[in-house]
Amino acid sequence: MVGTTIFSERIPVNRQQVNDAVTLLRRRLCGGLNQPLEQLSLLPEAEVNRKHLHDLLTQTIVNAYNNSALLLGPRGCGKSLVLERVLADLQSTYPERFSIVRLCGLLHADENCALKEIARQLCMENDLSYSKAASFSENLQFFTAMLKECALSDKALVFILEEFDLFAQRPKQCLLYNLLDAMQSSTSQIAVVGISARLDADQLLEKRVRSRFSHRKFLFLPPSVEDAIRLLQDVLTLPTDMNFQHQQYAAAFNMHTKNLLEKESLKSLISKFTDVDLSPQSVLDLGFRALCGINRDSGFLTVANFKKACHLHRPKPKLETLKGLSVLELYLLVVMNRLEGQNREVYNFNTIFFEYEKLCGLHTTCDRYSRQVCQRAFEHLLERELIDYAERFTTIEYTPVKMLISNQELKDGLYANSLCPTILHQWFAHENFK
Amino acid sequence: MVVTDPHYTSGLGVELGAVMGKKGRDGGLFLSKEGSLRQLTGEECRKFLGDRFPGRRDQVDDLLCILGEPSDIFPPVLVYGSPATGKTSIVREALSLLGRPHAYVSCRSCHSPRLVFESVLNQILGHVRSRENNYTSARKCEKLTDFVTHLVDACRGSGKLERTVYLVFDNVELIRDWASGGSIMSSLLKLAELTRLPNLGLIFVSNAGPDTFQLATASREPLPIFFRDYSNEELYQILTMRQPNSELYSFFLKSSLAPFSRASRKVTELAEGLHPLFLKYCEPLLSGKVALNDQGKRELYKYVKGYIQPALGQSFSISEPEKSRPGTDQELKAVCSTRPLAKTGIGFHLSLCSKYLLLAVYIASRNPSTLDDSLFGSGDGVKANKRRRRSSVSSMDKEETLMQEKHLKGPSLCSLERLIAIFQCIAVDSHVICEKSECSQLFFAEESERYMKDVPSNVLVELVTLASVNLVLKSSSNPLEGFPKFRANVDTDFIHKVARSINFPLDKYLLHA
Repeated sequence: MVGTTIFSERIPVNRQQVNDAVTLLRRRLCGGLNQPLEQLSLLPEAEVNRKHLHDLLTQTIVNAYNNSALLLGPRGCGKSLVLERVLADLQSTYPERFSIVRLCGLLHADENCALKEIARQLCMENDLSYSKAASFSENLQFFTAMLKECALSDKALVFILEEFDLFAQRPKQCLLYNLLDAMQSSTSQIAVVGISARLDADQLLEKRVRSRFSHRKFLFLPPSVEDAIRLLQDVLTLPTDMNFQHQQYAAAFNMHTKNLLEKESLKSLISKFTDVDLSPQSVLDLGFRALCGINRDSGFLTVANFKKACHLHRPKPKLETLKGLSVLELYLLVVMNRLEGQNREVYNFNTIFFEYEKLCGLHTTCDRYSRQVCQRAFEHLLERELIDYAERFTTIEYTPVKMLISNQELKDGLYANSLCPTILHQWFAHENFK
Repeated sequence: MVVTDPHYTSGLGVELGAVMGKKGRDGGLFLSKEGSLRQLTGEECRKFLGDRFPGRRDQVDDLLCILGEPSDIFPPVLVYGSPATGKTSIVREALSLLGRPHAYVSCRSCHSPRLVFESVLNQILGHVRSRENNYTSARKCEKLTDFVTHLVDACRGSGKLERTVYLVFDNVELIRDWASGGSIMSSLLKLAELTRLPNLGLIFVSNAGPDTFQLATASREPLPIFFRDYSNEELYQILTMRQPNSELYSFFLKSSLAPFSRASRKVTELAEGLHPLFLKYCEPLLSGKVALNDQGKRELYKYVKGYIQPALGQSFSISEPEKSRPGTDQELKAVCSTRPLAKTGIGFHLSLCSKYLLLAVYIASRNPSTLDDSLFGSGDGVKANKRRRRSSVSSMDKEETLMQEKHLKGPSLCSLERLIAIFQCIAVDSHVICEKSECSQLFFAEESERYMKDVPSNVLVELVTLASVNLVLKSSSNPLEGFPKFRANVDTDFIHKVARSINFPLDKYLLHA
């Protein structure tokens, strides 16, 4: 904490500087794919993968080897980033020697769509006119002709298939078969790179497709906590060269951030955060949230920023919803919980209301409401997705329902809700309490 | 800021909707209107929204921080919270106050992917559907693929690549129920990557939290912003904000808000429910019985206390327009005690045959089929049954609870044959000669030959009519069993009214009355 005060006193910080810095860092944190040129160092394992992938694609472009590879790893671990970097690199080294065709499983899993998209992108690349009305077979002919043409003119084609698993889940895997089959002929010069978050993506391939696939797999795994923190620090470092005009402030900011990230309290905070999801993406999102909360007057990140970001980024939706419930809604939930405790597998609003009346009759509470009011509260619970219909039935009173929250969640919720009357705690805690 | 300003008093989503046309299909404020609005800076906007939406300062701060400068981009954001907590209003107001170009589309009014896509494109291209263009959209796009291509063209075409374009998708929880909703949702979350546009800001507004979107592997986790429910103080602030005579109203709220908010915390419901009670509260003042001083307020407090409980019951039902302002106390109580749903009073005509048929279905779906013989058989079956059961009290108790449970579970299914048999029995038992049961009486005489083919077709027609108006539910028939099954879809009050109207002793036939 001493460091904070010293820096903020010593260096005059004005808003313009802070705003510039935040804009720059924001762009870095969430630029993602659109900013492949931002030269941040990659994580060590990703760097190894990058080199291999680079070599692989260079071989295709220079030596006309046909290659295929899969980039596998959980979401947000840098697969696309590495690929984009490699492609940007190659484009600057071998301009005009290859063209890229990008397909995404979410959009183009359907063969017809995919072929259209391939034709469209190839036309764009080679300044040909593209006809929307072209049929499947025409597009296929065009595609095979283009493959030959490109190979003759010593131009490679790099196919990028995002969400590769979705392509593999198509019934006949037509597109994959055609692409990988084209690789086998000597008259083509193509590389196929698939990206998938499913680690078993290659197991989804049919036999005839699998035999044509070269089984090069690059694995992207989440980094260790130390690496993740280092990454965060790298990203949150301002450039001190000519790219950023407030150099004095940048130096102070970097120093401050470095000190901050070395603090034990913050380390434990981040390691707790990464217990759930260790992917760099989620760590960067945390950084983004923390940066959003930066005080524009003091201009430095603090532990409080990270704490708040952590809290905001990992909410407990069910608990928060339970906190906001009205007393009557809590009553109904507790009654449902009791019914479940009595091993009643099926219950509906009627049952719940009957039980509610029974319990209210045994105790004098001020929360005894009519059927209409209870039904409205019941509908609120449905709306908030704390309960749901078990099966469809037309009248609401008779439709069987089930709870979507566990015993423990309800317990926590009762304690968290400031309005909860004590009698409810007793009803909840003692199953046979009467 | 003047309180009577319509913009200011609209602290609630519903009212605001009336001002801004919130739920409209093509409701976004896009590039065309940008110039006409005075743009606020971030600080001004923060202050304005914080004042206008009580208890939402944190969320406004959070949202504005994430939105940042006009050219800043951000990961997809999911704004969620229960209904009527100001999610949509705050997001839309923030965007229009800051003068950011945005397209707003609600998945409730645009209920299919095509409508959503076309609405977004229309707004970005500044296209308005009108009679001149025969209400067509600017681009025709059925599929996500087309949408992505058109979106890229539209955004590049507008030539504003350096400024962020915001897309707001409201009620996204409904997308889950669409065909292939999962993949649409994942694609929308990844729209920035799919289009490769550098300036796309995505905001999703939803009633359901991030945990209820069971996204497949193909998704990116959005940044959550949670709109928690209002606390009692905030409810109080919001409700006083929209009343012209706010001093009196705040006194009124102090006495009546607490009991109301124990039942429901939804702002819109509270506002609607408290309104008739407030009119009641004002009555002694208007008639001059009570003066507006401390003493009078105490009197008013006592006076209104008695009405809170009945008003509570009333507020949660649909009020009939002519009865919404009851004159006398008795009327108020009368309104409060009746349930205005059409089902309870027979507000429509049923033919005698239909009434019997309905009773028959009700009896059939309430009683177990084993009881039919004793009820409709030679006569002394019920008594014998009762005598036997008296033997053991505990077993009777057990049976009682079982029956109770069955009753609560709702009407059960009954076959057509059983239904018709009961119909014939009760129609004859009560010695009513219906125009249609004449012939049924005829063949009831020759009891041994009660076959389906003898049932007059017009009784079956009546049954079909009842099924078509949902008084009787027809279950999907099992092709192996042949005949469809039926169950009654009426509540106890209604069926008793029906029975009374034809002097039918219904209780006699119900085991568990």
